[in-house]
Amino acid sequence: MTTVWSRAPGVPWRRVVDGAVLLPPAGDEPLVVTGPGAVVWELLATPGDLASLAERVSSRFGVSAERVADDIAPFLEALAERSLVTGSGATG
Amino acid sequence: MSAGAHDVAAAIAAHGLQGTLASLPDAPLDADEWAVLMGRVRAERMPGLLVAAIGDGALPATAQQAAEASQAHMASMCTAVLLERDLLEAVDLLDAAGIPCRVLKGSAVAHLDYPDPALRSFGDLDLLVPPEHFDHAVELFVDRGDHRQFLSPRRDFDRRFSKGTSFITPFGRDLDLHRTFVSGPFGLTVELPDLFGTASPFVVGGRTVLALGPEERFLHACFHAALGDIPPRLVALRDVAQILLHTPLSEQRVREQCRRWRAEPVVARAVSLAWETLRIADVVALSVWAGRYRLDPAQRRAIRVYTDAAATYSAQAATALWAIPRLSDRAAYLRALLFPDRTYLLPRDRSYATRIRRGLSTLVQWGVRA
Repeated sequence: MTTVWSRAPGVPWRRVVDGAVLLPPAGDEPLVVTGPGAVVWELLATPGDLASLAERVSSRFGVSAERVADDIAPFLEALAERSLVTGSGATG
Repeated sequence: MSAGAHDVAAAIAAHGLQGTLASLPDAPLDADEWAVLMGRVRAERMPGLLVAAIGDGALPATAQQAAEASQAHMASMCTAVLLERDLLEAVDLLDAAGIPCRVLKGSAVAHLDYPDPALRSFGDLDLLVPPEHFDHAVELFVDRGDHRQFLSPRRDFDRRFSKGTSFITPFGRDLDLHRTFVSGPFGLTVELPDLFGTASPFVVGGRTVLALGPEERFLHACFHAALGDIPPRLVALRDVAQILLHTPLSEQRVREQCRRWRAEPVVARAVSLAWETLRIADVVALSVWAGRYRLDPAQRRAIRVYTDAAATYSAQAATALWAIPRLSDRAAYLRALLFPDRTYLLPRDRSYATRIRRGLSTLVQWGVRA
């Protein structure tokens, strides 16, 4: 079973220089994500599991997919804690 | 504002627009000019266009200037996402009550007419509802805890005659609830059912909401640019050019609507101002038509109540009398303005005699039949 990540519904967001501004469903404090985090958010326009997201980020930055996966896993968890993304189980 | 910074602000407003001849400086502005420019960019809600101009290499900037522009853009985008959450909540509220609505201006044009919504900043939320649902919509927002900013002169006045009303939401942000596009004569000749006959869907945070159709969106941009502020806001002029040059729309349908709404002077003024201010060389059928359009004396008087520095809401209200087709409606309109409810009267004129004197004086000054 793998987790497929997607953007949570009802999250307004905007691109900014080197990043993105996201508004969590709860609270009035927009979250600014930059660098690879902003790339992950852009990529989440199409839901994907950690491996496929890492693959796409690694091809963008020229870093190994394994290393990227280690970096973005906690990032996805942090977004999930703020209800900005949802993870659903999928058999693969 | 110095001529240099003024020209740069206009060129930033035109940045990325097809066919513009507006040119940006080839070296960073000095500190004083930059400070003036940043003030204008914030006031005109153009940080997105400014960072795009810097990012594209069209406007040279020092590292400090680029960082300041980026900060201003970040702040404006934080406002935009907060307003868009308000938008989703407001649309939910209206939906639950079965009230159709259309999103106007900021968020709608940002998503539908610009290549990236981050290019278009906005500072409030504008929603249009059909007149028959207007009073119910007001009740819903008041019950939610929104603070209504302006009272209606009489019951039924807003539903029949006004532009709409404004609220401060429980979140401390501005929400304008529209019945029509503008106050005064040009607001009363808009055929309101036309505004709900079509729609353009767009997605906010993964959810679909409705804006006006492209032709109606363009016409509304023209109303806002031509009649909204003195002098017209650069971002409003950019909206006019942006929609006309980059959004597929039927110019024939625009011309038909504009004739039916008696809005030719508004559209001609908006398009001419946009083409002149943003220095657009490309011509389209509507820009040619706008350049050739000549106002008759009555149209000139009607436009003047929006564009004359001395014009007031009262002047627009007085001139609007003649745009109301039925005599019985005209009488109701006049009665509401001259003999409003006491809660409306007291803070403004204190007595009916004072109000009638002021009303008649305004009618004489501005209310010449348009």
